[in-house]
Amino acid sequence: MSKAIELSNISKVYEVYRARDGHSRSFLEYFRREKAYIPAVQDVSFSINAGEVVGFLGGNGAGKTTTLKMLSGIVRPSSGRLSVLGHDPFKRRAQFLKSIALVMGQKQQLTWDLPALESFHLHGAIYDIPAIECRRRIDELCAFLSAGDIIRRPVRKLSLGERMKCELILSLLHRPSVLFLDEPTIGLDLEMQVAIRKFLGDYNKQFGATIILTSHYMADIEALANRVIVLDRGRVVFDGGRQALVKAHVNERLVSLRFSCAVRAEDLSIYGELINLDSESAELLIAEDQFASTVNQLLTRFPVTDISIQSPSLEQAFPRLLLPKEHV
Amino acid sequence: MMLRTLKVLFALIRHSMLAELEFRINALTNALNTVVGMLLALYFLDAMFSEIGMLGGWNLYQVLALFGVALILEGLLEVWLFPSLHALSEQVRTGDLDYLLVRPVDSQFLVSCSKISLWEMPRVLIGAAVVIYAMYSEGALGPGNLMAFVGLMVVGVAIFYSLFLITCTLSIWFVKIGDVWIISYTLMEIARFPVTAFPQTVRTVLTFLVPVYFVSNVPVSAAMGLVEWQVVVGAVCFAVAFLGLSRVFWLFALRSYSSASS
Amino acid sequence: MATLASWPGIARRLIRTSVLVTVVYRAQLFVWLISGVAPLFMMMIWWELSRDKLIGGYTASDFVAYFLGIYLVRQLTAVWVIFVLNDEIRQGTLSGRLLKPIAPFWFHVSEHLGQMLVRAPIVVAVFCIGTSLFAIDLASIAWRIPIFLASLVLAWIIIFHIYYCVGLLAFWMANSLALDAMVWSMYTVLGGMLIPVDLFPDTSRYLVAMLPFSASLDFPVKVLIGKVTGADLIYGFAIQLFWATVLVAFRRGLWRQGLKRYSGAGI
Repeated sequence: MSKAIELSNISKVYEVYRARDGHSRSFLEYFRREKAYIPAVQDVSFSINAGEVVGFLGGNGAGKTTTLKMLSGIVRPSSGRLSVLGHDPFKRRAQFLKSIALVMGQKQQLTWDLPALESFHLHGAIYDIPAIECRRRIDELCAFLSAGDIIRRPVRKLSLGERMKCELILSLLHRPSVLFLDEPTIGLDLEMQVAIRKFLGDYNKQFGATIILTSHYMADIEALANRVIVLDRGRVVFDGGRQALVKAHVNERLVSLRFSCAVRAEDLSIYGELINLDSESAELLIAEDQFASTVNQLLTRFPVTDISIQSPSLEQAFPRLLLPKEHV
Repeated sequence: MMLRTLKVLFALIRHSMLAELEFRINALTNALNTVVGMLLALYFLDAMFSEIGMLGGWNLYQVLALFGVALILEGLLEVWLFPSLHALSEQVRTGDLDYLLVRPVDSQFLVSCSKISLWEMPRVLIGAAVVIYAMYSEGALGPGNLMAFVGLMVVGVAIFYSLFLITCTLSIWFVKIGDVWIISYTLMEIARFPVTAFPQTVRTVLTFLVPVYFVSNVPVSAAMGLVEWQVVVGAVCFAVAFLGLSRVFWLFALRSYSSASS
Repeated sequence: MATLASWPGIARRLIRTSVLVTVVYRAQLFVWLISGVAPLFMMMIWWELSRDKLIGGYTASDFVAYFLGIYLVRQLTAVWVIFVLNDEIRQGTLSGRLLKPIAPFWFHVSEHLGQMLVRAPIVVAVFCIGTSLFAIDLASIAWRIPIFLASLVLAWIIIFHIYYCVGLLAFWMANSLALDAMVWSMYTVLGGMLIPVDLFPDTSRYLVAMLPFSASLDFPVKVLIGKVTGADLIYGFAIQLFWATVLVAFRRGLWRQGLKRYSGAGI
């Protein structure tokens, strides 16, 4: 399996000017500013194979967007070696740029007053896609995303979700081999999020495109990425399978029970940590090991009428990955 | 390569034109404004030249041609330079510049031609008509002079473009510098007059520091068949130097942008 | 409606706000400073031309004084209300202004006055430096300041109203800004920015002198530098008063009609 992306000891330090006391009050202050160095990314190394879908996780300011920008050639690393599809992204060779796509959920590329279709045609000209082939791909992607007639309406008249669909079509017209997605589902309603996740998954399967995606929604990562890289304050704190991340940090499950008659707290608490108890229902945190036998005992010893078990999720694991350090 | 650049350019122009509504009305009002402005300018020139014989060694029709060239330059500013390059400061502020940098087309080309407003073209056309009329009145209208005029006009526009690009590139560092465009507009007003009409010190500034001389005076001299080959060589050298300088500066600015953006 | 007694207080507040805004948003200052430079270049041209002879009754010294005066008056009577009005009417933000107990007109006026208070020292300084560089007698100019101020106020009223009326056309037209270019051309040529009105050919000079453009630029400058006296002076003031009254009436009429259309269409 060839390596699509390789990073070795990549660091990025920003130079920022700050006024002495934080307020640029006067013209003179301009000359007495201090230079501060902000490390956005520190000594990051990883490699990604062609066709993988990887999720980048991290809090705000963790360095996810900066890393994506370095991978797409917009930002130059302060040190380290970086290669995407065998190219140095910062050299911005045409061949490299034609094989990548960058989609930023909070910034749009489509021309506001025109139908998306016009932006598609312009994109086709810029990426040197023959007109007939371009039209074919537009139809194909529209079918994939069920975006039939919205591409003919002015973009400003579309809803956020419809706009995002068009942004994705635009970005995929030139069949990039690597896709960088920065918070693609931000602000979208649930139905649209699901549609886009499905689309990206299908696209990856059909065209084998490598996808790197950052998101604050764990559901995005859970639906698409089997591998997760977690960044915290510019450093990689986890790089591995999604399941492994969950298993490493979540070792209990939340079980909700309903009873036919009242149950005593002392009786329940031997089986796990009691979170909630009222007359006919209870919530219990049960340890992961021996989980099955514990549930079995609960079912036999108590008058349970309903039970629901929550699988350990990324949502639970992720904060625990970062939290201990916060408290150090 | 050239063909592809042209194809992209046409696509950009078409895209920009579609994005602006009320095309025809805008073109009409632009033509009307320009004609009224030109008539007033003629009135002024007539008044001025009835009081004086020559202006810095130039007669009325030669100065009229200068007005025509100023119109062409203003028109190019409105059609091409302002919509595209001035937008740079806004693109830097919103981060939209990132998207331009990710395209497989030269960044300077994309930034310079991102938006083209063809309905300001009447100004350019009327300006050209004024120059031709002035040439005719001077008995200088001929293929040789016309070619010389177009050639030196291109050279002048190249210098003008480079200067405008350099001032707009500054907005990568100083986002609030968005108002520097006014300098170009003010220069247009000065370019209407022969450099020789000014006192000596100003003459030097207008020739070498802010080359109004090469941008407007020289093309008109060429149109009138009065230009010397040394001046032509000088103009071409200036153009090449300025184009080179603006290119180097642009690339430097990009490196700086990619070190600083977050 | 605010009572007459409260007007001075309100006016002071409005102008103070405008001054503060100007100081904070220093950006617009740059455009104004640079774009005002053009008359100074005309000054250089005419000075070169008239160094050893009289042109149209003006000496080199006269030309310098004249164009410095044009610079001064033009900067002090800079008006941008056409853009403000266009924005407010087209985007509906005028509604917010209409809710206040003071007519929007006074907001626009105070914005301009406030900014002028900040900019005036700069312009006056340039004028004084310019006159001393060319050895022009500032003392005699100083004597004329009172009467100059009278003509300046009238000039401001005239040019402010011209642009205000064109701006009000936004109630009816989609693109009244296109007219701004035409007004500017007329103001530049017929107001004396390129050539003193006195130097226009005899046949058409009288016509130009009767237009509001020369009344709002050429005339106050001539008053300041002493190029107009006696009967001509009275005549000039008469023209200024005429245009001031006509334009104020026109503005009020347009405003009334425009408002009817504005609230009717529910823009």
